[in-house]
Amino acid sequence: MAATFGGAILVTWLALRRDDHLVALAVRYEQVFWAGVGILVMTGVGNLGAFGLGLPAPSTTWGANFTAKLLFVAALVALSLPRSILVVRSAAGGDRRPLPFLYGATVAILAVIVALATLLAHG
Amino acid sequence: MVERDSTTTIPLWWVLGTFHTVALGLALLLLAYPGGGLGSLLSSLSTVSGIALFGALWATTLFCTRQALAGLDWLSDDPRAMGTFFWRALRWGAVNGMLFLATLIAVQLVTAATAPATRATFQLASALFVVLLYGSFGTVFAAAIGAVIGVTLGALDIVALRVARSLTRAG
Repeated sequence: MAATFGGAILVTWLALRRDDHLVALAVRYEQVFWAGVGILVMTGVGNLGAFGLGLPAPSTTWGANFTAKLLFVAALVALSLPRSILVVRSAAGGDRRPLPFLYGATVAILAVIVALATLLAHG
Repeated sequence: MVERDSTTTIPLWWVLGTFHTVALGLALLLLAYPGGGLGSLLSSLSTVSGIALFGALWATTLFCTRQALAGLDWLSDDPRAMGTFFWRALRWGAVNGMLFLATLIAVQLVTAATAPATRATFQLASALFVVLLYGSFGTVFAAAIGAVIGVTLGALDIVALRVARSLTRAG
């Protein structure tokens, strides 16, 4: 999560500054991002397995926060596929103008996910 | 070709394969949790076997996505390339379904043969019966389900490609 969130902040900062190293760093970030998201979901499933039958019901506050977190992770994944495709195209010389908006949106969604994860961890 | 140098480009099979795995996992969680069935579903899995199954699904999906994209200029969005991609999504989706079923059976059998609670009652003849039953009928169902999921995720890939193109035009 640290690499995914911290990396997104760094790439957003470079994108807003229109830095020359933006695309090279964005390519590296996308490689790491998908590994990070895969590991997050994989360990998340493992953690849910530890709850088993003790998993709180969807009608509880915890359940509402968990459902919201799942929806925000789904939104992150839905946003990230076009973003990665744009980075691939930018690396091949394509238009990079939408990147600041996409990375800014990535940071915003990740911030909400981190906040919800904190709420879930503290009951 | 965009995939050759990993320091300057992103392997497309890695992005799409991971997207497919994560999207499928999230869809299953979002379908199972609101109905209240997720707890009982997960209670049959230990933490380690849950992680192992997700890891296996990730590995087989990456392999099948790589095969589906081999030699295809997917980013061109050319109608012929997209037609080929849909057929490959159908075919490799079916293969992925079968591979995942085989992994699922292997994990269940290894767990049954090694877990202290079930090791004493584990019988080789019963294990062979399970392998034959799932290996015949189960494979057909797994291939059909995998093909449907493969085409659905392939359609989502193309939607994402067109969203990326439209953002570039709008920008």
